[in-house]
Amino acid sequence: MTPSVPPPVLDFLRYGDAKASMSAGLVLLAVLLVALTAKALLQSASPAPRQDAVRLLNILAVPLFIVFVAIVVERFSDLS
Amino acid sequence: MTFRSVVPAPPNALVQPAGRTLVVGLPLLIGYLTALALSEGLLLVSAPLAAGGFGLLALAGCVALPFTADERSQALLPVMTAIPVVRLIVVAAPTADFASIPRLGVLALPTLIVVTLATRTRHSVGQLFRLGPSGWATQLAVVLVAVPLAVIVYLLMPVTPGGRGNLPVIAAGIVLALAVLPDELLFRGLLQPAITAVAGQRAGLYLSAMMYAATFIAYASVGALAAAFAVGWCRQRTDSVVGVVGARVVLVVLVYLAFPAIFNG
Repeated sequence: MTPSVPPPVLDFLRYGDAKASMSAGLVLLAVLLVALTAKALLQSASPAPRQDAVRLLNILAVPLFIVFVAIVVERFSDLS
Repeated sequence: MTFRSVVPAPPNALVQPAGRTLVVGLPLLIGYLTALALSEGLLLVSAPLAAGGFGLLALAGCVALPFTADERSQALLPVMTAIPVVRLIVVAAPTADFASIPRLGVLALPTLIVVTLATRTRHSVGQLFRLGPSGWATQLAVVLVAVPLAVIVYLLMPVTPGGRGNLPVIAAGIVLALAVLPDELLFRGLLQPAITAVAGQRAGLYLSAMMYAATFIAYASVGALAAAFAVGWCRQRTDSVVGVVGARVVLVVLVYLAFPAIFNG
């Protein structure tokens, strides 16, 4: 039996969709901001923070920052 | 002249919170699996909502870490954080202009970084690629199992040609190999042994396979669970991720590049 999934949704999942990707990009930006803020607070905390907590926040912050830069570059290339 | 204290400070005496009581066990893992599946299901309704679900799940992992009490839970949390981060990247990355295989290539870089960072919280990356006690012959056998499996997958779900866009065949093959690498390292290399350490071998196999299959809910891919059990079982038997990574690479190269070229001319 074929599952009854609306075709536009599957199209987005397989090939990407600019509008939905932009809204999801805003969510990504929010998560990135929370991760960076938490990392900054942890690093400025006294006593010194646990290294594993900082490393865990890096798992969020580093790749999300790369995707954020990719989103910004893509938007500029759309404008030009 | 400088003076140094000769009495070493007790390790973590100042930084350990008093109430560190969280132990990641079976109930928490099932709750995590449910939350992951719900977030994936939200993709059918709204991509931003699903992205929000993945973001909250990833942040929950970070919040939980200071409250964990044992080493095994602390080893599992980075992996539980990495999975929703990878899914968030897949949903939010600007890949609308790419054909399906180049799209995987764009996603491969940040997802490989996630997996590398998650690995380095506990091991070196090289440790993941050790052959295990069974040796290279067994790993090669696991890789070769992918050939008949690829035939079955292609017959059940034939792939239309043109997915590689303007990429040359060799580049498309490299992109496909890079795209499946983070998946296998994350679910079979890191998640399965971490769950096994916390909840036992059976739970390690079943829960990691179900978490992997949960990431395919919105894609309506019914074979994902069966495939996840098969490669998870191979990983458990061989105690190495090398064979299953090779098998996945062979499988996707055959299904997405070789068979469409052979059967469609």
